[in-house]
Amino acid sequence: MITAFALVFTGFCVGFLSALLGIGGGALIIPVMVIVFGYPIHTAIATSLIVIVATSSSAASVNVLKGLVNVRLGIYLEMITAAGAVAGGLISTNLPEKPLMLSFSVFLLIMAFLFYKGTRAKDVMEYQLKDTSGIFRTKFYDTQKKDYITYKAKNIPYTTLLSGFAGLISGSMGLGGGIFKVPAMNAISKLPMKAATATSNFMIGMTASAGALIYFKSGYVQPLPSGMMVIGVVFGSNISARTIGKIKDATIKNIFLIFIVFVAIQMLIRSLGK
Amino acid sequence: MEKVHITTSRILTYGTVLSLLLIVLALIEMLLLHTSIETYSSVDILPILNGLFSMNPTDTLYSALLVIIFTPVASLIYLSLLFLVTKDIPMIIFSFTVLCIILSAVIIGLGS
Repeated sequence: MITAFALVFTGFCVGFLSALLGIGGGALIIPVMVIVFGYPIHTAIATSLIVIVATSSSAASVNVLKGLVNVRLGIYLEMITAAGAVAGGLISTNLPEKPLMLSFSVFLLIMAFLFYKGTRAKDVMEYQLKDTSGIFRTKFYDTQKKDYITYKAKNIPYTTLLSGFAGLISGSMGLGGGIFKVPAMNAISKLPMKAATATSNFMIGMTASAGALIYFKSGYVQPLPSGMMVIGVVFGSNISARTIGKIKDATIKNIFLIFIVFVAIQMLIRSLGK
Repeated sequence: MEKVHITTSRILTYGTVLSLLLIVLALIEMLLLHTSIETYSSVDILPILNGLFSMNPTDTLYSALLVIIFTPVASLIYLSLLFLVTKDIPMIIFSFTVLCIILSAVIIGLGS
């Protein structure tokens, strides 16, 4: 009984954070499931994939209605991400795990630094006003600024490349890929942070559903812990999605930066371990 | 508010709520029937759905997870059909490509 409540509570916390940052939450769930609850790694990955889908569906149901999700951009980038995820899944078995993790952790740390510098140096909305080029134009009502924000996605080829890379990592390492997509959409395509996290969240559910179905069919899913986590995640992500409008973009960016560094260090430790 | 946003949001909401209701139903069935939830070594969709209607808590819980897994795919199918109706050629290509990739991933995964 205590374990069931602990799983619901863990799900709630993961759902809240994941919906806020536009990530899947795999980097949080898998270690907690294995280390804290003692589940086998495959069960942890299967639960993580189901939780990612639940977070995405619950948060996106609110974010789509608010207009925060750029549906067209999301589907376009999902095309590249999903292809990258399939390729990643296929090649991951032929690649040595530890050097791969080491290179990803170094890449993440560099990205965290560039994201920090880039977002401080130039305000996204100022850039949107100066540069009128771009595609996938849309707008949303920012409850924090009490105004409509109209924007276009810039530098699409670079974001496309990074989304493909996000998919590759997602497929090879069981991560959601939001950790690459959100900075790419915000720092490169100049999407407001809230739109970037909401669009990333919308995309992640589609990618994870295919993987979740594979694990489901293979019998790796333990229904009770997955069900308990889903209950917590649905409420956590729904509350987070309703709160996101009231939080400053800068606050979300700072939490996101802490998360990138946390994942990079986690990967670094795993890659240097025995 | 665009109709596309309202309908997509509804599909995602209904899928999530249905899944939650099935999880709660499975827990009630488990308590009423004094049975425990099992873990199947291999899962087939049709027997799970049959078990759902015969009040088997394990099958009800598996059905709940199946509903949540298919929810984003359902919203993607709706968007693909909408782009098809509105003859939005680039979006038709993008959305159907995503559907094909997801389908191929499932086929590759199930075959392995």
